Amino acid sequence: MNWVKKYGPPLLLFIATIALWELMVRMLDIQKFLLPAPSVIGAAFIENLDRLTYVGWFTTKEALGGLAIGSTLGIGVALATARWTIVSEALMPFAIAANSVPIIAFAPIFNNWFGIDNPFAKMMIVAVIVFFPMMINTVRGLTLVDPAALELMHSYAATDYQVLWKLRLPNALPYIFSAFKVAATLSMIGAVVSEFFGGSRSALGVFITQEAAQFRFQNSWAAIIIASIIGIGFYMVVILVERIAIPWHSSMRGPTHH
Amino acid sequence: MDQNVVSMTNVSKVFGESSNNKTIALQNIDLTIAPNEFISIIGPSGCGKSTLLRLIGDLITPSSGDIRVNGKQAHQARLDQDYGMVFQAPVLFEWRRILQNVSLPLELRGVKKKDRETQARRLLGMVELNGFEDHYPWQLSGGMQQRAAIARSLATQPQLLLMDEPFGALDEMTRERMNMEVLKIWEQTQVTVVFVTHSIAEAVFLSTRIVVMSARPGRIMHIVDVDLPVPRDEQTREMETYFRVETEVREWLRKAEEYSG
Amino acid sequence: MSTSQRYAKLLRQILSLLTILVLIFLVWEGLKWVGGDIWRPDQNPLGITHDPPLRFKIASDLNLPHTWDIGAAFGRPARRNGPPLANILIGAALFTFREALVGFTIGAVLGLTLGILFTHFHLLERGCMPYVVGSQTVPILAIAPMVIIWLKAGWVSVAVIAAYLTFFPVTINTLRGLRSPNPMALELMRSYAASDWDTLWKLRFPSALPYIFTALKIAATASVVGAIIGELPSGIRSGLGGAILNFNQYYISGPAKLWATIIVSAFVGIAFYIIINAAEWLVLHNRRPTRG
Repeated sequence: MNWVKKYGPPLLLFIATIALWELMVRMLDIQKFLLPAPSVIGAAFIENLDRLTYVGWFTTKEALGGLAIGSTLGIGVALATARWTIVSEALMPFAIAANSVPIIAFAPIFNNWFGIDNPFAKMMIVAVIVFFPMMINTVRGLTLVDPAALELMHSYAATDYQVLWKLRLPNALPYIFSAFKVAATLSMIGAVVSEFFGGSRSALGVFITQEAAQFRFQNSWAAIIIASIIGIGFYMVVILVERIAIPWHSSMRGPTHH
Repeated sequence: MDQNVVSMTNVSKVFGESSNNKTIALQNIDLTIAPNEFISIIGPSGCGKSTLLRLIGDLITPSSGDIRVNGKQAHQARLDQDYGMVFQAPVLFEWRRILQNVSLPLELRGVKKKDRETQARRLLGMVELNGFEDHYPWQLSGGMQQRAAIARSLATQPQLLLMDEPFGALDEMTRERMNMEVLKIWEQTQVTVVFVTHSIAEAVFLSTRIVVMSARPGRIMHIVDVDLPVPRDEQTREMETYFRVETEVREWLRKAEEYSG
Repeated sequence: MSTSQRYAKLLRQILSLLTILVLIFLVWEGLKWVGGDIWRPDQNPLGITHDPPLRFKIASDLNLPHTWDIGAAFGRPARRNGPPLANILIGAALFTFREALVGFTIGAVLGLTLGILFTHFHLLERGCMPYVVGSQTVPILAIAPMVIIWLKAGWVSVAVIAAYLTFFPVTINTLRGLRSPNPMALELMRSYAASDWDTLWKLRFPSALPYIFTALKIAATASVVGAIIGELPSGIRSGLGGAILNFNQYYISGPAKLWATIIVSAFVGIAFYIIINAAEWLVLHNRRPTRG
């Protein structure tokens, strides 16, 4: 019964919206090709399933590659500099500023460096997009430790290395996962959008723009739905891993009462 | 017309009635409090003292029984602002200066700015915080913040003051000083005070009567009369009667811990 | 923290920023020294000739123009007899910033409203929240081409994209912030028989401000990105997105111009962030002693 209470309202809203959308498109003929009816999109989906899966996978690889490179580097740099607070304190404002930069603007440069058809160019964009939030949050997690806990370790005459491993790193895990969730969603979007600046014909983003240019919007929509599903998939995987890795964290416990 | 400030008749409070873990917090509470009394409520952890206080303040509703404040239903008393409350923490708003914090209850009742600030200054004077009106809460010590909270609780000039372990977080010396302050205010304003505490010494020093509660489900074990003279001071703590009452309370508390069922 | 300590910290931050910039410069030119194209005397400020021992594709003059070339490009006209590049880029930056700002404002207002509504109407929250969350999994930037064509309205449609990217973090954080007050503070308001309205404006909203500002900082960046991306499919030439496309097309003839455009884009993003940071300081600095 709780299941109904929890999923009922959104499910109802979803069905109602789809139905309304379908109805409106059928009645008001105008928007037919700009905002296709759900049924048309559904058909396009099935028709182009092969191609969609192909381009979807192509771009997913870019996103995953970029995610891997960016997070590894981000966490790595954070670990390397956390030891010398002066360095990390100096780097942080720069990293935060760099995070405000529209990295996507570098897409053309990377295309020129690595070749417009080369997925590596897009992978590097994703890596840069992901790097800064990962680095910033990892540094925060490593440094925002309860002073009392640090004093405790000090009283055990623990070495800096031990403090890092046994205190700072576990402390940082919730922060890292929090950033990872953001990174996971950004990675897919970053890959698709960077392809808007031009890319291989096997890419999802290129598919979207080309189909839109040919006024076959239902195909573009179908591709976007694929991209969304993959993005949600990334996010769910991170949540799953988080549940296994940090079951002790307060955000993993049951709902609290207000 | 009910002369009592507070009268509770056969009050019970059960939490989680609909679910599987029912907790009987309070059972068969009968309590009357006359004007200008100083009542302390003391008891083992989980005995429901804070719950009892919140029932009087209509912050929670009883499962059964009747609660009247100033002759009205507790709910109406809250709407009429017949009481002021002081919590375990000062609960000052960190974005407001002290003066604005103290005048908050008046602001909510639509009192004009000039009037409520005058009133707030007067109240701050009563708790000896003049000069700190324009400070922010974080600039004051814990004791001073709690004094500001007490000033705030008197803003609407209520007849009843509800205090939930207000000095628990303070050190011993500050605590004793705050006790004197509360007594001074009690004398000056002639309020009726219901004071929840963990400390036997505090209860004996401050009160005219002490309600000792039993362990959960909370019932009133015994009400101890404190026949110490008023006004009280440091000498009071050295009187025979003081020790006698303390001992009596302690014994009842011991029984309270064991009492169950 | 005393004033002198604060100045010392500011000085340290400026110094570290300068150090990083110098480091970037050294690595950049260092790369070109080791593996770039030949340095000609008329093409560098030192007037020297140098033939690098290696050749890296990335370090060629086409892929990695000399920093002084990028700097010089600001002053030269972008096309024959046109105004200096700097003028064009500043105009483009303001254009894009305006789109971003409008979108940001709309998104922020929407987010705040949703946050407030969701706090008070639980049914609304339960029904709509999954969509609010789900909306962010839709890569709006991917839909940008269609949104632009659909709305037809030029820079307004770009602002809509920026608004879309802003409203989600603001909604989530407003909700969290409105629910953040200490339960005792809520009891306090209840003891005053305060109305929901009073409780909202005098307690919940001020408590939520720190959270809201965190979201606004994220949204600031997102709206700039949204504005730039939005310009791409729309054929808007007046903004930074258009400039990027333009100079990318003619990359071969002048790579420095593209780099200059990107640097200006970075500045817009950072500037917006700094503005929000300053606003945050103005509103919140009274609350806690600044941590050292």
